[in-house]
Amino acid sequence: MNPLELTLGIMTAVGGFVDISELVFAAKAGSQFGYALIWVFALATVGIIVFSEMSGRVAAVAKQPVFNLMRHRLGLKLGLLTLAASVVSTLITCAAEIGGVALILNYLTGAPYMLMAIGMTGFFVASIWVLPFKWIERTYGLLGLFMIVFAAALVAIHPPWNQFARGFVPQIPNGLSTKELLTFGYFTVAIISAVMFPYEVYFYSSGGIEEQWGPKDMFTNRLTSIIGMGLGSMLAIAILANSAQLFGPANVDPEIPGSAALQAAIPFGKWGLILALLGMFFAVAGAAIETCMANAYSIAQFFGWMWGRHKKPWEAPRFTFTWLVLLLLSLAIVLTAVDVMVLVEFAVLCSILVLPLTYLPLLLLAGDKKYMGKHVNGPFATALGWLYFAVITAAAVAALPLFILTSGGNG
Amino acid sequence: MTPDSPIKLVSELLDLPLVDSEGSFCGIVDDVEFAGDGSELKLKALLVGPGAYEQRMPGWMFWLVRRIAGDRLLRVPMQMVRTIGAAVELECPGRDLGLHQSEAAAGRWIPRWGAM
Amino acid sequence: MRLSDLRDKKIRTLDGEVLGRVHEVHCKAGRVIALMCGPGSFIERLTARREGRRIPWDCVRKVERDQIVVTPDPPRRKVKKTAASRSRQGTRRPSAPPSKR
Repeated sequence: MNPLELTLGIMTAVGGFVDISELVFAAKAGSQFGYALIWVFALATVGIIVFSEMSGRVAAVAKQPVFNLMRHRLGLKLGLLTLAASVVSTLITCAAEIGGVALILNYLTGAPYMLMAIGMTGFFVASIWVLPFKWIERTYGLLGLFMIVFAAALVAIHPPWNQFARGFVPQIPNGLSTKELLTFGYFTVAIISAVMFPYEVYFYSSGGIEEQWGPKDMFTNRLTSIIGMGLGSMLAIAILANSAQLFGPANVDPEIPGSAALQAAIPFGKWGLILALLGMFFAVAGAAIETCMANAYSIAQFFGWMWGRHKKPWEAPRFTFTWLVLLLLSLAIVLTAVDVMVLVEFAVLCSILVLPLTYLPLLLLAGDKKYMGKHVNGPFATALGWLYFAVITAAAVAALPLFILTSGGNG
Repeated sequence: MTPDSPIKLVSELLDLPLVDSEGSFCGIVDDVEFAGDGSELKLKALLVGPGAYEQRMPGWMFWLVRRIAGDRLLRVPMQMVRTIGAAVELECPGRDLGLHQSEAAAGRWIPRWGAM
Repeated sequence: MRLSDLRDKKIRTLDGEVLGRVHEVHCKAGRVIALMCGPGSFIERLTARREGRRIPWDCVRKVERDQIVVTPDPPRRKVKKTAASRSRQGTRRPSAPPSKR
């Protein structure tokens, strides 16, 4: 195990953790409910760690990515349904990320939003075309580490640390009206969805195949999942806590994604704002590429095509066409001028509905000794996996009613 | 597992990816063809391609699939199967069995420059 | 004939009793040796642990468009191999149903 590679892998996971949905929901959750939703971020982070580690293990041992094995277990009809639902939800997510990046560039440069969306899509095409997989992942992931300015801002504003710590304890705040309670419930479901997006597992497992992981990489897989995602989650929690401390008491509702950048501007001034916007730009841009590639991986793997950026674009032509078309479709959604916040809401809603069908085959595969040999799920992983499956199933059932009753979390 | 091993066709073979001797993905096992008249059925070939979906989905769904992806059907003789595990590994390159035709057709439209 | 021609087909005995639907086909040495039927559920496919009734291929009389016809009262459990049954392996019985003991 190369320590430099491991460190870079962990840092990439940290910088690449936050995307537009987590940014938006962390800021809104903090402003509306103070520190009371920190435990949901922590809970969902453990969930994504559990399933990412499993998907990486399956990729390393069975040498097959999740979507290949998912079709084998679900069968053709249900597999097609899962694929269609997953593609739609990830397409909306990709559109939200492209819109988010365009907005951030608009704040940074003042250039028109639509022009930035078109320009950034072209830049993403160039990135995926020119760079091999490792460079794509590392470039955006490491540059996303500018997001650390949010953690620094939290320390600088001296929040009530005892309240912050209490936020990690599962709770429902006292004295909420019925409407507020439903909104709290909606935020809980939305945060679980935003943190445990299915595209993250598809991308992570396919990335393991791209990097030719084998059983010798089990430790790397475990450390990257636990430390990388754990620390990345702390950045999202820092955004929530900053919002609780700065926006909540001032009754500021961070309606637009750029509001989060003010969290760093308040303690650090102009440079804080610039660093925050840069961090958001690279994190969200990385997420746009990840969602696009995750979708292309899913489609190519489902139909047994050649795939991967470890091959040149012309060596996996159908995969290349797929990610190109998906990026253009996502751009088309953005160019309809639909609000980025609406895209984020729908991305989160569609994803939570797909999550149970995504994670169940993975859980069963990782627990199948015939495929996994001695790397099969142990009792701890099995228990955690089933616990989280129950959590996401409950969240999926509650998502649509809560979305309707709370008008998408707006009360 | 080899084709001669005891095998459960639905849970251990159907819908597995195919990997050729060069390590390239070249399709999914979409159906299995038997030889024989009913008194004895022997494994004859793996069927690959959207044409194999017809008996596996409702008519309207297959109509949609055919409009999008066509109804191409290829046969991989069982003699060409080396092992069956998390994927079906073949004895020969996929192009020898006609499995890379669609990739080759799509490849004619992709420029061959610029990538690292 | 294809796997999709067998899968999900109803299994009915010559007496008319419905035993379930085919959810698995067992092969050995490249030959189909048995069908599994019963209330095979979605969860059983997911877990790849199939339970249900095992119908030896020897007991199959006819594969029709929407059903598979088998001998009445096919064995419910895996029969331990005896010298007599080993000699019959892979051969079809005559068309008349076997006498019940």
